[in-house]
Amino acid sequence: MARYIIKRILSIIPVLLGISIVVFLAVRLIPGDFATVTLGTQYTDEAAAALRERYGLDQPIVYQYFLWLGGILTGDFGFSYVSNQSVSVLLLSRLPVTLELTVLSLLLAVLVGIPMGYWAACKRNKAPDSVATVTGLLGISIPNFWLGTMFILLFSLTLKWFPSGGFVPLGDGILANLKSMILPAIALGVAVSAVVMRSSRSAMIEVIGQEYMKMAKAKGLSGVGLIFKHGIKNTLVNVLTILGLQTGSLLGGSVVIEQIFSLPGVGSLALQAINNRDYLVLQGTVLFISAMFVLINLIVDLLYCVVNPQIRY
Amino acid sequence: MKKWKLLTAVALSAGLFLAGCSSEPAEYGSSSTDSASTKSDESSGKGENELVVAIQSDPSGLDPHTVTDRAAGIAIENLYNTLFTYTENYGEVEPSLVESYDISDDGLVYTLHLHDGVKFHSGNTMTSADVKYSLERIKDSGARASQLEKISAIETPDENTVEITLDSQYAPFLTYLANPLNAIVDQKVAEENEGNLSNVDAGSGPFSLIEWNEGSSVDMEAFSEYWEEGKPKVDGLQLRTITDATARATALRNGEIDMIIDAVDQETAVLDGADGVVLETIPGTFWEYVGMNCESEYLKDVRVRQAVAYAIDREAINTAVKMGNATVLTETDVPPNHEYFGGEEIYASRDVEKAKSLLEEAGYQEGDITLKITVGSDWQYQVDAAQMVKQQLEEVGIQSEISSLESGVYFDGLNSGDFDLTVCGWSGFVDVDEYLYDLFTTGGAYNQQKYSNPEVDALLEEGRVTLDETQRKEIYKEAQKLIAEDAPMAFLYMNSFTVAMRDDVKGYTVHPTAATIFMKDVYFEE
Repeated sequence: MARYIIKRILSIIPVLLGISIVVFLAVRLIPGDFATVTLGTQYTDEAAAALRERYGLDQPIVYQYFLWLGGILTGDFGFSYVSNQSVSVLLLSRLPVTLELTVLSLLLAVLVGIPMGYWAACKRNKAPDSVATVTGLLGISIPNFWLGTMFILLFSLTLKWFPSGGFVPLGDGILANLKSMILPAIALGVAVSAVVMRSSRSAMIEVIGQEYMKMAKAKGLSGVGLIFKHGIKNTLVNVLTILGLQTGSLLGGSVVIEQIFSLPGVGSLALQAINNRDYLVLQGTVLFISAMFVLINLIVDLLYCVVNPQIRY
Repeated sequence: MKKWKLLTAVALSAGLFLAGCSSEPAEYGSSSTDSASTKSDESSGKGENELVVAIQSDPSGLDPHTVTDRAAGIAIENLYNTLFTYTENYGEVEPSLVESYDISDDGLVYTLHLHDGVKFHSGNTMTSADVKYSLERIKDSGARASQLEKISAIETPDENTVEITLDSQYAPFLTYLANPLNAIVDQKVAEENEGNLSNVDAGSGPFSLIEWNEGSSVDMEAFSEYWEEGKPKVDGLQLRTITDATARATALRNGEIDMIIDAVDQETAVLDGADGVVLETIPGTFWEYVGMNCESEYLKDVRVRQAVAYAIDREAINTAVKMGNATVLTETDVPPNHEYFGGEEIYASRDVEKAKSLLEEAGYQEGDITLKITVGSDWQYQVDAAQMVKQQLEEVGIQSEISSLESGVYFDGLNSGDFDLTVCGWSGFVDVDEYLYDLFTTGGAYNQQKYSNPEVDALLEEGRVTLDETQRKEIYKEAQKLIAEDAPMAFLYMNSFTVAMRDDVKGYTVHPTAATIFMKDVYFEE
């Protein structure tokens, strides 16, 4: 096991190196001159040249890449061209918001999506199944930016239950914090719940059809007991896979919701960096999200052995 | 073994969750305001007598000399002061940190006498050294270096006097000194921070910085030692980043915020007539035009250009594309609310007959002329305007085809002269020189139309160096008339600029440049 973990961690290195090259090149391929974006239209050529020199942008691109990579290896992600702040500090200041949003959305997916999926599977082709299928389809189809806007209009403007946006840190009170996060978490979590619901439903349907389930039934187990004792455990590998993938996409995919609800998360940092052609911030953010994605996949792989002892590495 | 795996899994998940719940504010770079008290304010609520203003994006930084975005501009306008300042009349400036000033007879030396005892937020007193340092800082590294490039020397004979020498006469100079971002910074604070002011308050403005919560808000409090007595009138100012238009409009309707600067059409449609909300709309500085390539086959003939200018129904395009909110331009780009507006209404209404007769005079029959209209596909309203221009030109016998291009490709074509007609726009001009010089002098930096008229060149050169206001107005009046007649552009309209406010917010002057320098006058009506 320990050897497997070490092997997996080592295998992450080439993946991250590959990502770093793609990220570095992709960021530089965005059209638009850094000097024009930074200095506007009323700058002198000398000022533009000085700016490029200051940030090493006049150096060959390969040199720039290795300079950046070398910095990362020593924990230095560089500085924002725009605000001069350290990229790591910027990322760490935005991370709590995105992580909280991700955790709350996942919580919604786990608490609503999984039970609903199991229930639909057990009542296959009956009313609850149809309800779950239609709800699931709706959940996947409704774009989260539309849902977010509707939530603001209904719960903030009309009912005045929640603020229309903004982030209140946990330190300022858990209630105020939750009030600021509930609408965005639901808007983001609905689609995730729907995906999780559909996959847990199909996983459970598959498990119910297995020979060991028939055997257990023949031995006298039935209903809820059967599902809890033999069903759920055997669906968990599938459900975990989906949850892992969704966590990854939530970490990087909450840009729109963060914008709508004015949340200062990692997504809005990336968007701002794109607008400002703030290369190092953008590279750092995308690399960070990618690394989180890889890490979460590793955790999911390790969790497989926990939920299914037959899996051995 | 099994237990160990479970514990590892739980620990990993818990680590993630705890990180998610961490609310420790991040540590920023060194800042002169580190010791300032941190205000605990629920983002949904607001303090008593505190003005909360929505900004559409997070500021890119707080260094007045390097930023170019509006959000940063709004923060800086309230944290800093300038030597001169805009007045309520668009295009006019008056002294601010400067108490009085003299200009030498040759118009090259400006002697500025500073107000005595102006305090920076750090407690330091502003001196001529700070002014010299600031102006040099703008010239050396600033995004607006070109505005001050005529300065050849800055002397500081005493603590309150600054002597600026220009290498040639330059009438727009005071307007550039009044640009809110050409601010005077505290030299000591700047040097303590090794010249990095991106998250530092080195100002003397009506509000001082409490904290910039990146991505959320810029929190400021009234500066008790502010040099203009009785200002600011509110105790605090918070700039809250709300990027989504619906969320912004909702926050204003709920009273969570007090103001939206530069409300977009989407917001004004919802806010117009909403309870407790007042909208104030004036012409802004974003103007649009139909550019004509004066070197292209047909358009090199001034009569064809005039025919195009007469054929275009500006009011109809305004109604269809801008919902009638823009102000139609009847002469040149200098708008009617500007101090230097020429006043001739050459293209006040569409004149199809005149257009046709001009074409006939130039020797063209119906269908002889086919023009290419290029537009940037990123700006749908300009693509829409181009569609209407095409239709209107057809009515006078000019055929055209529209080519809608990706913005990078579009600007390349515009700069290399690969177009006949284009629909485009400019914004942010204040002095009349900005409105005309680079656009209409032969070989001017922004003269994409390749327009050239030696008489106009001479007038625009003269206007730059004429310091007498009455004389200067005459020069520009003449220049505008000539430009309008030569029609290198068919000027369309000046877009409106809207500020939305709660109805208890009083005293705010909406300025066309979107400058928020009048925030210090705002108070709440009981």
